[in-house]
Amino acid sequence: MNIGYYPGCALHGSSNDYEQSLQACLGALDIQLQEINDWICCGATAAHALNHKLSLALPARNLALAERDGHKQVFAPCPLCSMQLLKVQKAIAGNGLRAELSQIVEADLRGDGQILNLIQVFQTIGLDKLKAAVKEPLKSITAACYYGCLLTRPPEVVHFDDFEQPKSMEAVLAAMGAKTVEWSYKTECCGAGMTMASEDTVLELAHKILSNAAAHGANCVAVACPMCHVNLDMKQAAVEQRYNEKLGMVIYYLSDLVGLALGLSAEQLGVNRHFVTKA
Amino acid sequence: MSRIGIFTCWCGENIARTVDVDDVAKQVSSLPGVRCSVNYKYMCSDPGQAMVREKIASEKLDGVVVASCSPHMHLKTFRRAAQAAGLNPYLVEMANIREQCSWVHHDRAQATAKAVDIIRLSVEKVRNDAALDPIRVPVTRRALVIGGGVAGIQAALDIADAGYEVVMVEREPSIGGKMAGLSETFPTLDCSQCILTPRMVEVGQHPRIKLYSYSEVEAVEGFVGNFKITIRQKARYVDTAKCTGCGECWNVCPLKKNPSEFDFAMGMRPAIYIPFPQAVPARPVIDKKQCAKLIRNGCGLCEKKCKAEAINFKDEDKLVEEKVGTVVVATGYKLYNIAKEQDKAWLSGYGEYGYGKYKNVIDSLQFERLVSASGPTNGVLKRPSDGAIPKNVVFISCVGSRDNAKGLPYCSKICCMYTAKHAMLYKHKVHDGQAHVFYMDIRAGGKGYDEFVRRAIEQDGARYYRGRVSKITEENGKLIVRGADTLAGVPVTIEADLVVLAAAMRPADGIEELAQKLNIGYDEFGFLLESHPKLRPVETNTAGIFIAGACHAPKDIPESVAQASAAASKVQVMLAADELTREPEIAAINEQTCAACFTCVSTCPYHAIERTELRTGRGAFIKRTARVNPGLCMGCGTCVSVCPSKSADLLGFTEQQVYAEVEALA
Amino acid sequence: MSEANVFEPKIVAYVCNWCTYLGADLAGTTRLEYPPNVRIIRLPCTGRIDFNLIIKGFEIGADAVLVSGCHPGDCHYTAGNYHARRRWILFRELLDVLGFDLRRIHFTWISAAEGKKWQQVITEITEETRKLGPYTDLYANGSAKNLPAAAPAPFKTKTLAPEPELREHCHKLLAEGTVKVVIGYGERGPAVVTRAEDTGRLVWTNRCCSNLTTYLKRKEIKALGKPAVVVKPCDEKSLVVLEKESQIERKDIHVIGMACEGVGEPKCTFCTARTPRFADKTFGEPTGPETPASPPPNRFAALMAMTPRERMAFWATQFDRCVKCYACRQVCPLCYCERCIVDKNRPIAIDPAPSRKGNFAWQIARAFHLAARCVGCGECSRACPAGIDLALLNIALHKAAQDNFGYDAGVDPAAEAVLGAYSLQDKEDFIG
Repeated sequence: MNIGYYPGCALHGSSNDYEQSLQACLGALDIQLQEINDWICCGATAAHALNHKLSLALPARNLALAERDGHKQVFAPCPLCSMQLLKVQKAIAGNGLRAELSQIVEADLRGDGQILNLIQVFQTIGLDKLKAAVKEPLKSITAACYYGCLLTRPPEVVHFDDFEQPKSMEAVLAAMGAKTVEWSYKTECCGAGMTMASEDTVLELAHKILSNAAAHGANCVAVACPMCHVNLDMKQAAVEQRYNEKLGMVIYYLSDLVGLALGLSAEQLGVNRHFVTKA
Repeated sequence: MSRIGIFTCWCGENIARTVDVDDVAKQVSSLPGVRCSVNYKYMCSDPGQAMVREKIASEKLDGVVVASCSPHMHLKTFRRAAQAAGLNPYLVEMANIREQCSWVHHDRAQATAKAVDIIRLSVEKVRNDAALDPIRVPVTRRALVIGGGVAGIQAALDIADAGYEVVMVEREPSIGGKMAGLSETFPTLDCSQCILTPRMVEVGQHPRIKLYSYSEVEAVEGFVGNFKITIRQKARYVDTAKCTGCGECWNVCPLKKNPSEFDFAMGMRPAIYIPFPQAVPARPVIDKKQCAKLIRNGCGLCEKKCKAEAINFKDEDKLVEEKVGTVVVATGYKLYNIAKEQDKAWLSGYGEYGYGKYKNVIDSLQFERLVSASGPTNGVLKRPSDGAIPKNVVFISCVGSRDNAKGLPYCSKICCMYTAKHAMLYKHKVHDGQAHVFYMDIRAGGKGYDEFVRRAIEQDGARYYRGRVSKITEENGKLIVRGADTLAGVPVTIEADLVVLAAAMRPADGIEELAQKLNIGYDEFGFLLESHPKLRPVETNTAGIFIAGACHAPKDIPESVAQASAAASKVQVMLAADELTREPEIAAINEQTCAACFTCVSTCPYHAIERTELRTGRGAFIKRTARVNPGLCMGCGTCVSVCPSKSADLLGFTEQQVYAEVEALA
Repeated sequence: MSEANVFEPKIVAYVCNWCTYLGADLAGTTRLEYPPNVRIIRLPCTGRIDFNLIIKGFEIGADAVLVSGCHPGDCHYTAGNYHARRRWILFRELLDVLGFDLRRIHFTWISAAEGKKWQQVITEITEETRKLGPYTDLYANGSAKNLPAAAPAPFKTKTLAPEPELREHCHKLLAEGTVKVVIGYGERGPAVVTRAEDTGRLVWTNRCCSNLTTYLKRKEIKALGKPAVVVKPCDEKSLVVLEKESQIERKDIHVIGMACEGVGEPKCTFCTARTPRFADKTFGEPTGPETPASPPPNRFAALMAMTPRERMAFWATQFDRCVKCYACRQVCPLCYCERCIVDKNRPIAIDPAPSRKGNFAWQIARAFHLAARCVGCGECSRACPAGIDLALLNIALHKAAQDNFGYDAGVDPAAEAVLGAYSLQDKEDFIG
């Protein structure tokens, strides 16, 4: 099966390990990711802070390109990218801004495609099918599923899962034979783009997240967002140093865990490229 | 030939400043049909009215036009004056030359010309007026009260004490409503049941109150003064006439672990149960969804134990008819469901508070049961998860209220007061406990209310944080409450043993279906609509139906009681006479010319038009026709517009009158 | 009076007693001034404001008419304004087709609390009307354009194959007493047959144009007993509407349906239904009329392409030919009122004179009384001895009912009638 693929800035760059994980895992499930030709920045947080129309036009362009390429489904592994695309679809629904945005991006926007995050890709394949394909159930994994801010919010744009108490990632991991924990920081902020600008903030927030996960019995954290991964994985050493605690929590992309259950190796999935590679 | 008198008023200077009243009176005196035209400084005053009466007599007037203020001000005044002089009051019209002329124009010539036009319109209307008599409708001098909470009880007692029969219908097995479950009430900290149960007993024993408990209103037919109510008595499976309330049955019932509705699931009850010991009637009910005998023909212990042979497993719902003249709706409230399931698509609950997920996050009514002396924990505040006494309790206000994004935009009025009360009750029971209250504003506008809240803070040490709570999580058995203190400008995190959410007040379940049966209006939240928010707060737009209590809007006990007495007094006004008089400006159908297309029947907002047949004296069929029920018609005239043959007409605003008015403007 | 020669427009306002009238009172109590040109007629509810009052306002010389009431949801009588709104949606379309100057007709919702809005609305309307000038164009002559007319196709009357079967069936019905009277087509016009031996008078040709359902409403026919009626698919739609309006009971009529190839009328060029759907017995094979060599000209589009002024001039020329014979009313199956409004004389709501004004009044009333009811049988146009294009008005309102409410009269027996019902979603972009 082919689906449209919008990598965004992260997946080719600092989160290239995520892309490796996706290609290995989804490849094993016979899903070909067809990268959208000539995609541009989704606007991220910068655009909507400056100009509302710009923040719509940028993802609108990507939507137009996806439609041009004939993709009925577009997978955006970064929740900010996927949220932006959904935001544009909502803005042009009912013809609200369709004409104007179509003019700006020089294409006739339809907005009828399906935008998927990573969890939704697995849901589209079907959890029963995934379960049947498991070769090595994840018996040693007790994961805290971390959703971060954008997978389920804003609820009126994203319409995905229960935005206060989400459970969709847990369902995927349960199908892989892993255990998951109920914990208190599923949707709490990790500091987002403050990684460089205000490292202290990120360290404090990441510390809360990681220690709560550990306190509730998790031995690793599962994420579906490159930003979450950076703040929890790349910054974990700094957190340990600042708070003088040994955390040793591997931060798995959800595709890592699914891939491992399907029998792929850690090297194939790029897990060895993480900062924290073992507990 | 008409003999119309025109009475133009100066209204002091209000009219005369802009309109040349003398000139007007002179000009209109020559209009066709006008017999006399006079003017006076204050037509509505005693001498002014006397002038009207005098001219009616001396000039033998058959129509009166008073050119002065708006008919909404004084039409009734002048109609009464005319009636006193022997002229039918519906032969009086008012020409509004003040609000709609002298007060809004400054050019004297233009205003005067307009005043003459306005009077000319009224003269044409009056020339085509017909003498009308108020419609007399017989009255069944009984009242129905729907709902047995404190408002229903108050209304029923007032009406019954005044000498009229009352039929009360209560959905639950016992009357008492929400107030029966409260522990103490603000601002006096009276024990709620202590002040309510005597009233409940009075209702149960009152010779003129017929109580249908565990019953619902099934259907409503008829109109003011003549309602026919069908009541569904739900099957209790207990014969209340034989039962003595001894309690052997519920003691012996083996199925004791059913969440008690009265305790809002803070306690358990058997399958055969009485909701609380002071219930009226003090007779149990069997829950057919839980009883082993009713489900699979097992058990049957209660029947064996019952010495009065009152258990009847073959019981069935019964439909009963009652005739009443008026209805008081006092169906009360329920709390906003903070968990996920909602009955409206635009409500979403508050998942961030973990209600339903964490056992120790409860709502305010559940807290009342935990502190109530007759509650499931006998008044000892034991938290639901492990029965421990909480040392830190967080109270969160405005859960669901004042929230445009996810909840209801209105204020639920009582929560600030009962939260302060909860904080005080908590401190009185747990002396070393600490109450924390997160609030947006404090609304304590009643008598002694603000002082009450201050007591909670100053004497009972409650800590008040002006801010909201963003999330509640649980760590190591403690509830981590993260909120803000906006006055201090800091985030606040409290480790609580118990969290109490002041959920919004909503009208009780099923209110919309009931309102449709009664044909009364309700707003988008389900609250019943009053006729006029300021001047007619207990009446509805449907004649004969009144509202009281929280079904109208969030309110506390003193207001509910006051409103109930107000509704009762309106009922008594209606029931005082053998007949009701209604304004006769209603529709009438010329049955000879009616084409029987019945468009009017489906159009009428009050379902006041019926399909009927004209027959000869011997019963031979002549034709079908539509007919207006004078007891139901409210006189909007919509039927007139849709009638293709113009057989429908509206008395007081007939086709003849309206066309005459328009032609007068030519 | 202000400076001489300044035109003072005459504004007639029909307002509801509970909202707009009180709003105007409030403007008074708060001393908000506005021009003195408006004359208010107080009615209990906008539901009471008949469409004809708007016409009457103009007839007596108003330069602008305002209709105003409570906001939707606030009606003192709960639903009167919803019915009014629906009525205005359709009536406005009719006024537009007739070429009325819609800038002179205003609808607003003004509540009892909106004294300021009353002041603003009256001031705006007065000034706008002052700029527009006096309404001298009402019913005025002009250089009326003609509409394109289809050249009539050459026609030869021929008897159709099902005729013998039809006669035999009717013979059986009458002989067995199943029906007491058969209303069918005769050599020249309708044949009302009560005896089995007379069924030879019945014909079925390619020129049977009448809509025979109109006879079902006649007292004389009703007195005879259970009827059978011969209908083409277009006539059958009238039965649906008649039953919806309680004029007939379907079970009390024997319906004989004839599949139709067209009867040479203009309506046949638009026909899409070839076979009756609800008949008790159907004869004939469904085929269509021959497709015309060139598509028929869209007269309605041509009419709406004119300016309002031109449209009114067009209708003035048409209506001038009317002699108030009321043949259109007699032939229409849906004009069943025994006492028609034109026969009512207290009040004389519709000027009975065959004058310009009287003819407009009648034609407007007729057309609007058929709004969302007319099934397009075209009999009115055919019957009119003066050749007035009556069907065109009916088409206009039919289109309005379809566009606004998705309603096609006579098609779906279960569909709710348009007037007499309302929806909370009825559009109100024309209401201020």
